[in-house]
Amino acid sequence: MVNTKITSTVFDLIIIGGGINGAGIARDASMRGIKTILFEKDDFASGATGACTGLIHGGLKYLETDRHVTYKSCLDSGYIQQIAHHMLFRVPFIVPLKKNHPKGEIFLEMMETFFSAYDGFQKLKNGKKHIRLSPEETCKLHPGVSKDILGAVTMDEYGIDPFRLTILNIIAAKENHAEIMNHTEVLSIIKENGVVKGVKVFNKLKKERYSIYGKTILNATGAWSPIFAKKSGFEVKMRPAKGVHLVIDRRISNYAVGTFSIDGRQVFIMPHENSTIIGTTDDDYYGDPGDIPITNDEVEYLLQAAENIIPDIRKHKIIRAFAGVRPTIFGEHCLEDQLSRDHLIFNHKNEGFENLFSLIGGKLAAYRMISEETTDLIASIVGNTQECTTHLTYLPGSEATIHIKYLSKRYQIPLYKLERLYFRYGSRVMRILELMDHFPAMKADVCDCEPVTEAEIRYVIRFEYARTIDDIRRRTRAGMGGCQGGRCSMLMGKILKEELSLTQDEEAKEIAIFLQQRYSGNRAVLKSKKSIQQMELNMANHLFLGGLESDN
Amino acid sequence: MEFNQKEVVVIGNGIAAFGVVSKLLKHGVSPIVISPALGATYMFSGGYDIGNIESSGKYHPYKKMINPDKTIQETVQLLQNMDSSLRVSEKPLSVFTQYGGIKKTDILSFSSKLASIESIKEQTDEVGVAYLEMFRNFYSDKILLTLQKNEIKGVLPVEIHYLKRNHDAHFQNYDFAHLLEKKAAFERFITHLQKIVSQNRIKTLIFPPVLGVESFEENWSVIKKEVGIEIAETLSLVPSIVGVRVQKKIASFYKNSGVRVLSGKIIGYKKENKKIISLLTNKTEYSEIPISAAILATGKYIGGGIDLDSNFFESVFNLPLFYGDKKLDRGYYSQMFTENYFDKQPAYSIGVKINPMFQPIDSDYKIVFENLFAAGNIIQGYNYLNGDGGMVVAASTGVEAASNILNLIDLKGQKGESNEL
Ligand SMILES: Cc1cc2nc3c(=O)[nH]c(=O)nc-3n(C[C@H](O)[C@H](O)[C@H](O)COP(=O)(O)OP(=O)(O)OC[C@H]3O[C@@H](n4cnc5c(N)ncnc54)[C@H](O)[C@@H]3O)c2cc1C
Ligand SMILES: Cc1cc2nc3c(=O)[nH]c(=O)nc-3n(C[C@H](O)[C@H](O)[C@H](O)COP(=O)(O)OP(=O)(O)OC[C@H]3O[C@@H](n4cnc5c(N)ncnc54)[C@H](O)[C@@H]3O)c2cc1C
Repeated sequence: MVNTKITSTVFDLIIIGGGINGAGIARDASMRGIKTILFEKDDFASGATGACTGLIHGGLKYLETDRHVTYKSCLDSGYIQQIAHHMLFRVPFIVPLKKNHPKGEIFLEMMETFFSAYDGFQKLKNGKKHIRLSPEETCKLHPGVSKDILGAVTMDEYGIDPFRLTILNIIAAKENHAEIMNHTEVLSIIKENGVVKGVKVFNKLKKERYSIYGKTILNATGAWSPIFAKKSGFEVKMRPAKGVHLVIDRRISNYAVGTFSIDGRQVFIMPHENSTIIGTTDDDYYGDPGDIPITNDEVEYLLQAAENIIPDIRKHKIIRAFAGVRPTIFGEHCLEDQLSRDHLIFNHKNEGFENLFSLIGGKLAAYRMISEETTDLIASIVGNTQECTTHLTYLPGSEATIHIKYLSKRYQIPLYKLERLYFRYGSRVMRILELMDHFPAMKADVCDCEPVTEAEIRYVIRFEYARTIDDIRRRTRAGMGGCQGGRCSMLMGKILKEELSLTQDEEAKEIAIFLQQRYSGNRAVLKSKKSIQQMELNMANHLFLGGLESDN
Repeated sequence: MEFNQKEVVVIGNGIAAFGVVSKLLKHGVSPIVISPALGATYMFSGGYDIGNIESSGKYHPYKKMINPDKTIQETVQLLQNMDSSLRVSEKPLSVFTQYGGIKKTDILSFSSKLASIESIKEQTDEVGVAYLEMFRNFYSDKILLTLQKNEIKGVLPVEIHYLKRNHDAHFQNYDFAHLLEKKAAFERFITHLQKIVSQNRIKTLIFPPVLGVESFEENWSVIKKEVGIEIAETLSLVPSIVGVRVQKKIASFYKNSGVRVLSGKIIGYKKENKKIISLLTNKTEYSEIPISAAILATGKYIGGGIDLDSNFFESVFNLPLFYGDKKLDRGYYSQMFTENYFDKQPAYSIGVKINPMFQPIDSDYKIVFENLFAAGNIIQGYNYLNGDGGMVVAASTGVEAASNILNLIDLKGQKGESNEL
């Protein structure tokens, strides 16, 4: 069981926010022996991190302006591939050009030149060089692509499940003796004579308030930074940008396809786990990052862009839309020598908060580098001289490889299920298998969309800090498939109740909250018969038969 | 296939279609049933909802009936004709669902072999709740708790093991029901039950609705005879074996009554003035069916009666659709789902608007086609999810539509020997 009791009294570092940045820094700092505690107000990766495309890309975009950044990004992408080798997947991209593109053939040549320049970096991250495809070849690789194209160029990237990447960093931090608290919000900062002393926090599940003391504080609240800073009396300037994705049930192809939206932006249709995602939009957004509305216009914008290159896109079962806010930086007050303009570390000393820093921006793909840079800074303040080893140390589950075929026989679990489990949990899958061995009934599937077993659900509650049904979903993907929690929600509630000794009312409340969360992402895409049918079945299941009352 | 006369065609093969067909048959008219697939009836959970006539909303189809009580009564008889095991309960019932929740029925409900608080309260002997190893979709704990809350004492948890040897993979409604269709498994089950009963004196066992598909009734009787207990089933989740059973019963009823059931989809029609003269299908063997009257019993989304492009549309005749008085034009779609999952969603009560003859009409109350009628879920103004009634509303609108056809349409040459009066 994960320990959620705080054992230390004064920490070296208090991290606020459990997105990829907070988690990455917690791992790095704790590995160097810096006494660290991390607070996340909801769940790990419940902010921008969980709403991102999940590409561990090599900074293609900086190729024109800053080749050095591309080099470093590709190098780091290579590191991430090594330290999390069990859960990366290759995403070959096809970027076709429509016949009606204003610049026509010339543009295709330009694209090819651009991708050729990227080829030089590909070997750093085990990527393949680009190739030019004829219209026929393109349609052969991806039969859904419009026949109305001049040709296409390919490019190679890698993808990852951002939830799992974050959790693994969290677990690594914990195993290096960091204290980790999710569902615990930092309410304010305690300071004395212009120097920070600690934070006041509120545990939302236990409804407890307490104070924690530390020498340095890192604000890694991403898009929440301006709000949090204002509440605490300092300032973080940002230009938050909202990004929406659509999710289609199943992979419509093993290739990702690039297309252009009505305003000329690039939109991708890419396979991700057992689904396909289309994204993204990019608009200024100054609302609540925790409650981002998704409009019909945004959904249409993405569908039209996708339709442009895959004409039949609307015939697929579109299951949901999700949104996140990119913590895009604003400039000013930043430290010198920044790696790129993509992220900044703010020092709030001049505002009367000595030893308080804010890390803003970045990329999932660059999280390790950014964590290293930030931790270097913290280390210099707390007087730690240990080297960073995060690029050389395996993430939990990647330390060992296991013999899947043998284990499949030994534990009598079908290969496809075990492969999926290995992909998600690496060698830690042994714990799940042992659970199954003791309680064979836990081999049963909880989800029909992907083979998520009961043992897996119990594992993430016991070892990965899952405290709500939504937490379970982030770690296991249960509820993310075609039926969007239609069949598994009640069962997850039942298991959560057993594991956490909830009352029947608490269980019903957890289920109701989860269903409402799922629905808010489904509602934006209830635009086809298939999706409305599915919603009717879900409602019949939950409202008509589930005995859930709306006052939950 | 030859059609030597103008036919009465029922579009759809759900419970609404059944209402139409059985009423027509009663009056000597044998219609054609055509559908490409099955709809909501196939997923129905097991408690025939009648709804509440008094509290039914302004647009509820009961409000369109001349004498709803009478129609419902007739419908109930016709349903019992198809399934002799159906019993009408005089009181409202609180029926258990597979989730361990309680589904309250408003005024009347069929109570054949259903587990309800009321029926269990009447028991003097002990009642057992099955705990099924490996079968995760039956919430025995919650049922026990609910029984306790209702001050029902002496309820026993009954553990049932060894039904399934292979621990892996799915064990859901279908798997279970099909397992009990197998002789060896069923015998093992019986032996196990006998052992349990020998140890305690239960008379009724609350069980998920999976006691076999085809042999459900036989299994039920065998258990009663050989073990001495009655099985009380809960309402079913999807996939629903109860729905499968109903569709099978309807199919055999049609077979025994000589009703022609065609597989195919109506994809168009020919008309003369305001009359449909034939229906076009997607099948070459019967691409055009000449008709005297047609009944639209295509259900809603699950049935396929309503489809969407950038807006909702009725899928066969493109009839106007309504939400209350509002005709659904472009742009309405975004208002059909509210923000709260637990709300009554407007989308599930939209449908075609009908006159008291059950003919689809437009906003000016004008009939769209003189010989077209509607029945079941395609009609606006009720939503089974809200407790407005489901199966019985669908079936009774079918019965009502059929009696209007008998009154309004000249069915000369189509009436065989009338068995009415
Ligand atoms: C649509 C979209 C697509 C993207 N695609 C990619 C991509 O493909 N590849 C890539 O590399 N990058 C991508 N990014 C960028 C990447 O997701 C972000 O840069 C990264 O996730 C930022 O991480 P973070 O930890 O700073 O922020 P977040 O993940 O937002 O984490 C901040 C956390 O702080 C918590 N928090 C806030 N206030 C408090 C408080 N008071 N107390 C405690 N906790 C608090 C929040 O709950 C949240 O979990 C994308 C971003 C978006 C929005
Ligand atoms: C999960 C679930 C549980 C339910 N539980 C209950 C319950 O416990 N109690 C209750 O009373 N009600 C319940 N209901 C509601 C009840 O099932 C419906 O109200 C009822 O089945 C509607 O019947 P119908 O005949 O109108 O439509 P359907 O059964 O949907 O039939 C529509 C038919 O039309 C056919 N069709 C569609 N388009 C065409 C075309 N173009 N050409 C030819 N044929 C076509 C379809 O193939 C189908 O055969 C439940 C519904 C669901 C989904």
